[in-house]
Amino acid sequence: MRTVATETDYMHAIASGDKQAIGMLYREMSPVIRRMVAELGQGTAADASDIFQDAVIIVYEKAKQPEFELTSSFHAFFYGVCRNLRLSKLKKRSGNEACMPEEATLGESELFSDAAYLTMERLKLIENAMLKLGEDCRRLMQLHFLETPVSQIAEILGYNSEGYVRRRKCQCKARLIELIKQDPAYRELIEY
Amino acid sequence: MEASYEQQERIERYLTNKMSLEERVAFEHALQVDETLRREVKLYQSIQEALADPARLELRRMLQEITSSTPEPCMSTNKPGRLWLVYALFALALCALIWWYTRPGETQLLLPAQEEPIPDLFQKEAPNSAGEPVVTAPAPDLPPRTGRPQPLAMAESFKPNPSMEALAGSFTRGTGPLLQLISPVPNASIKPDSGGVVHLTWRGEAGAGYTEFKLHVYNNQSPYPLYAETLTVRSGTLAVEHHADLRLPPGLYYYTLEHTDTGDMAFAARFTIPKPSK
Repeated sequence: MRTVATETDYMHAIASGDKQAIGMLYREMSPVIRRMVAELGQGTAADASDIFQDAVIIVYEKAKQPEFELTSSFHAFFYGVCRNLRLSKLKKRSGNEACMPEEATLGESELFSDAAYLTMERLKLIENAMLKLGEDCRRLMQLHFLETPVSQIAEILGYNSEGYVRRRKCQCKARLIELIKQDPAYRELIEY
Repeated sequence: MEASYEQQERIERYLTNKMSLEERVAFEHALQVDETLRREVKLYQSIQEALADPARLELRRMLQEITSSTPEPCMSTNKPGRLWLVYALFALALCALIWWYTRPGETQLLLPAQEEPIPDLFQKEAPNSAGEPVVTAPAPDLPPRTGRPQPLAMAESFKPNPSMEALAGSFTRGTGPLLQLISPVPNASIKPDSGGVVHLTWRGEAGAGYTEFKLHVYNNQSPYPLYAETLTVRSGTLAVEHHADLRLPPGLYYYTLEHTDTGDMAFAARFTIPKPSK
């Protein structure tokens, strides 16, 4: 079985989307995240799973920054990210810090500002809606929002005409927006 | 109100800088007065931002797949279908323990009862009753030691252990505490007495229905416990108490308490033995 030899390997594995290594990280960290969620209260197994996903995305974004340097062990850093995500969620839910667990007053809770946390949640809302689309629509939307010319989209996706690309684009975009607006978090994240 | 197809096209042309100056000014004026339009623009901006990095979306897809298909780790579930893994690990641990206890020429790995002399957990060799050298503490992945720890080893002995750090400070899973530990306080700095002996007291309150816990003490390097003991809840109460006098050199230590029957982690914390002041 493949093993992740060093701490920086996990950073690299996440940056390069190494599924096997990320799966290994999930098996390692899942019990710890679950305990942390239980400790901070009001958490479920699904919350723990969400936190893991969001933490990996944050590490992915960090890994893209050339100036980012891991100053602690990867596991300690990853746990810190997970914990801050949970604290940010609880803070948002409670609406004020007075309802936060006592430990939330630690300096580590400064990692995410309210704005950064909302941006993260907003992007997740869009990503989740995108993943509910069919493969065909998803690829079309990706190409469209990357401003790929219609003629090139037709070629890449094997469509007969540019007219069909335009029609299909309208259908897929309407479906995507419908899925986004169906999400209970939509009003809070987009319409605030 | 939903944005019409024409409206969507306008928003896209605005966000991709494809409008003429005149059209742009008119659109920005509309933005100032039309709240619905502002929301639609914000939605489009969010979509643009989310789709700017296709690798990120692919990573999100992969994460959904991993978290929905990876079996739950055994320590966080007691579902019958996954119990085989718990049993396998338990059997493995039991075999390792039996092997360790029955190794020829060596005595007990873990600490003896309190009536016996206080052992030095880092002393490589100590005489047994027959005058033969015995190992009194496991240090399978530590460098060979001669005599007392050297200055370099001293610095190493305070280095946090990533796996244990992730556990330390966490306790209980599920809805209620299995054990509310009162002493020793997590992260405590515990000074040895003049004879170099550290006096530790574990005192806590177990949740109803729990009768026994396994206590393990680790240093910051070895995966094997330096000390293990079974803590029994006092009959008719929820109180758990245990005292141990250990000879531990300065360094960072961790202890864990697990519920004996389920193997659930009830508590994990760290403590330090400070360097002696000069």
